[in-house]
Amino acid sequence: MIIDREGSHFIFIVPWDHVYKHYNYINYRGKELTNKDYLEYWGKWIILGSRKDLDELAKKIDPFVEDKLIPAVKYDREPIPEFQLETCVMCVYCDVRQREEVWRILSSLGVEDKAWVFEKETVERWLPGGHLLEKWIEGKGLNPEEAEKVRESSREKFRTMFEHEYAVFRGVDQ
Amino acid sequence: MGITIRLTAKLARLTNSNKVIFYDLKGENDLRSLIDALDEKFPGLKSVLCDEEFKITDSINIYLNGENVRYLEGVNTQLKEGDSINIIPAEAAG
Repeated sequence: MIIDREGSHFIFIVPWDHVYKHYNYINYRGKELTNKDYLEYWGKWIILGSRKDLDELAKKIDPFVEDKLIPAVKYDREPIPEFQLETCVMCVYCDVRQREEVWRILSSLGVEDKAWVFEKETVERWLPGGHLLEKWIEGKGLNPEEAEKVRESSREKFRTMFEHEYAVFRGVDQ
Repeated sequence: MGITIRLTAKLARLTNSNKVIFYDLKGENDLRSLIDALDEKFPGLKSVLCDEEFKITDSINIYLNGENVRYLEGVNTQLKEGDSINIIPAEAAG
């Protein structure tokens, strides 16, 4: 089902079971991923497009998410101004071991641009010194003290998230 | 057949608004030679994609058939007929 809450920057597509029955879509063949597994196997296909294009694609993807052939999707409500990308980004999440199955579905829906990103790479880029965090800080025009607070907060967030490598991964705050 | 290179709208400003470029492989068939050839046609492109040591910059991701070339062999990654390359700003991979 498509979750479009006005207060959120992101629009999500997740299975109905996830919303109402605590189904954890971060799994591989039914087995939930640990924090360690998450960093090793979880990732996403990246699709760029206008909000209108991504809304249309989301409607086509939704049934595949409901059937659990695609675990979950997230996309921008509008381009993130700090990144000056001028386009919205859709992330189609899955385990790397099922990514070709997911790609075949996306390809059948007309997606052509093929770009796979491991979550580990994204986490590293949002850590202090990482390209995305530093670019975001720059885009926000934060002063050095504010920037350092943001860096410390990021460091702490990821430290607690991945503290226990064999605990079941419970998701990232969005 | 050659290879297909796709760029985002923002990067396509460097290629006369060409978002899709077809390139015939010849001679050296690695990413480095492709970037050199593209830079001859679209001057300035190389300096956006790579630093002075010909390493792909942090702000750019280049994918070969969906795989980030950083995890392959970087600019030494070999190309072959039918390959598809996507060049996107790293911010899109967040």
